[in-house]
Amino acid sequence: MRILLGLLLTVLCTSPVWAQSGDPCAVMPKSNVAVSIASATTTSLIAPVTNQAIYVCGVSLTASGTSPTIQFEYGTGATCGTGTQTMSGIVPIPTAGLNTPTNNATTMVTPVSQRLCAVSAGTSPQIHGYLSYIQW
Amino acid sequence: MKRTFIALLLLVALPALSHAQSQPSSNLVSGLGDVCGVYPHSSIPLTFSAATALTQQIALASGKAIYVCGIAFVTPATSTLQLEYGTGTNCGTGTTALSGVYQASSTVITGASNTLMVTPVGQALCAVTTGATGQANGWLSYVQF
Repeated sequence: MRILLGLLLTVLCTSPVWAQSGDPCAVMPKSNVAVSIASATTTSLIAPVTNQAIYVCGVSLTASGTSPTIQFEYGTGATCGTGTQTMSGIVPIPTAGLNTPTNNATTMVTPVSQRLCAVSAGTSPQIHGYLSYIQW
Repeated sequence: MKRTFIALLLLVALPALSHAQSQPSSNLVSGLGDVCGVYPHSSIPLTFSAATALTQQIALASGKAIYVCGIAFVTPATSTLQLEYGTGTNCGTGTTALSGVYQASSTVITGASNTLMVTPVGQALCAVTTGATGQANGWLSYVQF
């Protein structure tokens, strides 16, 4: 009987069902943050929460100006200035906008306790839209 | 009581054993669905500012495949991007195309809770850009499992 119980616990603990709870963007309620950037600068989008990662579930951005680009990065400090790491390349925002097809899957993720920022560039860039995310 | 335990054990163990015996590059976790829908994703930046030879983006992990769950990038008018896999330095051994050559002026933004592309187990994922400027920028989400 004890052997059976031990076997059961072993299998339960190593089963994918319990080992992972799924993609957070697929199973948890999301928040969203407005993106309203009016110059070439670094903008804090999502403040850090201790021991929580930021799962970006959806991106919807439009832009105007000349050759507007955006790069997502994470780090600490007011505008991710400490320990800065890129999360994306420097992405030119197409005329049609930058829109992920769904917000039900993680598209980018930071390590825990990090701030999410956006670096805008171009000539007089205006970048507007929102990010859908989970901080968990 | 003992029968109940045996039944429970079988109920939980069979899917797990089934997964262990499944093809390593299958994108299904037995009884649970697609890997990209079951496991949390990681992500990496795609950053190419000039034409770049095949370069490792995700290191191989022994016994694990790389499931590409999402990809988002933009290439300008004179650049292409291709994803490949292999082993060794910058996928130089057994190099195999994972995607076709995304053409210049591409805007690719896709991804959901299902696998877009998957490497065989024990392979690294690499990318190559070509063209006059060779620029391609964006990000990629994946599960290594």
